[in-house]
Amino acid sequence: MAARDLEELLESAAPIPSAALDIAAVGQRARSRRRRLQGVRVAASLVVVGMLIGVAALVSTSGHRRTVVAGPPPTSRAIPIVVGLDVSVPIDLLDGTRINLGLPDSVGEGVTGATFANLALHGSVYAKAGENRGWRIDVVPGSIDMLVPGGEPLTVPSGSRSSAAIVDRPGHRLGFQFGSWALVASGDTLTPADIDSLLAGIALIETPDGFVEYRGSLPLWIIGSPDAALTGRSLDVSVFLRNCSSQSPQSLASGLTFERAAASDGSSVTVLCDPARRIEVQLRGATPLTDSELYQIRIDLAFVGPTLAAIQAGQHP
Amino acid sequence: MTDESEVAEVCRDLYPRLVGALGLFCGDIDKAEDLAQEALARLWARWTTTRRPDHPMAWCYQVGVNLARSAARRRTIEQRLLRRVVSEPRPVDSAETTIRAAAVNAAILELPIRQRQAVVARHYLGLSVQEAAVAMGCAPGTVTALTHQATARLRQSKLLADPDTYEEAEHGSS
Repeated sequence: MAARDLEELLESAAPIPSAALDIAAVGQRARSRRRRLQGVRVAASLVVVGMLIGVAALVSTSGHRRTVVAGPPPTSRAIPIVVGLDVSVPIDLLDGTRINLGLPDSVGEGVTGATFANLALHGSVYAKAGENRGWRIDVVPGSIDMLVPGGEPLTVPSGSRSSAAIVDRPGHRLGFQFGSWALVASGDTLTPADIDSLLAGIALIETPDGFVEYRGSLPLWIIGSPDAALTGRSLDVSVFLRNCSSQSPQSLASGLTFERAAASDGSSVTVLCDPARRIEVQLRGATPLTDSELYQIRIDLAFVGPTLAAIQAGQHP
Repeated sequence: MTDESEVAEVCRDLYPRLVGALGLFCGDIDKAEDLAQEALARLWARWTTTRRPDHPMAWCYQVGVNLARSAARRRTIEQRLLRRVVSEPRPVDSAETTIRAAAVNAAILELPIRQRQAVVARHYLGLSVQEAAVAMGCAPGTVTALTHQATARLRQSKLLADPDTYEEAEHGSS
């Protein structure tokens, strides 16, 4: 079939719009889409401000004040994002894995200026190797007084890296303070023996760059949520250590695969995978990334931590 | 010319062709119209806030294809479609046109998604290999291969290899 024949065939079968484009409706749709995205950002900002006000009120009315936050206020410290030919975003995961995400300027500007207050790290710890029981851990900058309000203060064992610990027994949540970072362990059960085990077995250190690294004795593993989540001004970055979740990925020349999807809130999600190294990065923004932007994205692995190494080797705690 | 009036003009220009391309891709005119309008709304939002795509038609086509492939999006469109079917009956084409178009559409819809995407981009939208490659996020060689495979499959279809024969057979049997 000649190309001309094929073109004529497609022309004959292509549908024609039933009416002229209602340009006012399209404009209205674009404006409401923009307003909706702005509204989400404003709402998120208000939540953060509200939480800060709540913390301030809690601290000012507390009868027995305890200072548990060490170092500069975590919200003031910027993540060492390097802006050069592109925007290089370093993300350290709990196991010490360091990923440098290279983004074109047009995309990276959505996260430049992000502070550690915009970062959350997640994972899990197992009760012991080979035992299928454990707790989810969530690590964010801040105070455990805020994350486990009204909890029962615990005595931290000597030799622990933690400066304070609080337990919420009914909620099965145990909070730790490690410098300017707070860690909350939560699970289906939290017996007194579990609490002792966690107090002795969980430890974090703060790295010179300002990130935090797990140094506990309980086996660290991943969980069904991002291992790191960075919320920027107009771009959210999520990092997973796992086999790629894409259903029908397309390949890039860099060896990465990608898939685009529209999220239910109207935002666009691009899932980038490095299948050989078991790393998945999800970028969420208001509009889909262009193809030229996709071609410029790189995922560099500066350091492989023990959890990622175990995943790559097909092992499990 | 302001940004808004400029993008409005671009949208008007793109709309008929975009509906045609998305209609060929998804085989549903109502869905194609909704996808095209959503893609143009996103183009509009982008045009007036950030950067303008180098090739607006290729960009909108890719957005429309992505939306068509999104299950969540599909559900929303189907709900809108349901409302529209109830409220706006569509004019009916002549039987001959309808049968022919339906047959061609069926053959196109039998192509794998990437082949369908490539052949519509190249032979309906008239994108160059390079433009189609950028829109589809793949190498130019991949576009060429996909287009070739799609053309070969259409050639294998008796229906499409000799449309005149098909029309005569249809007329004869009616």
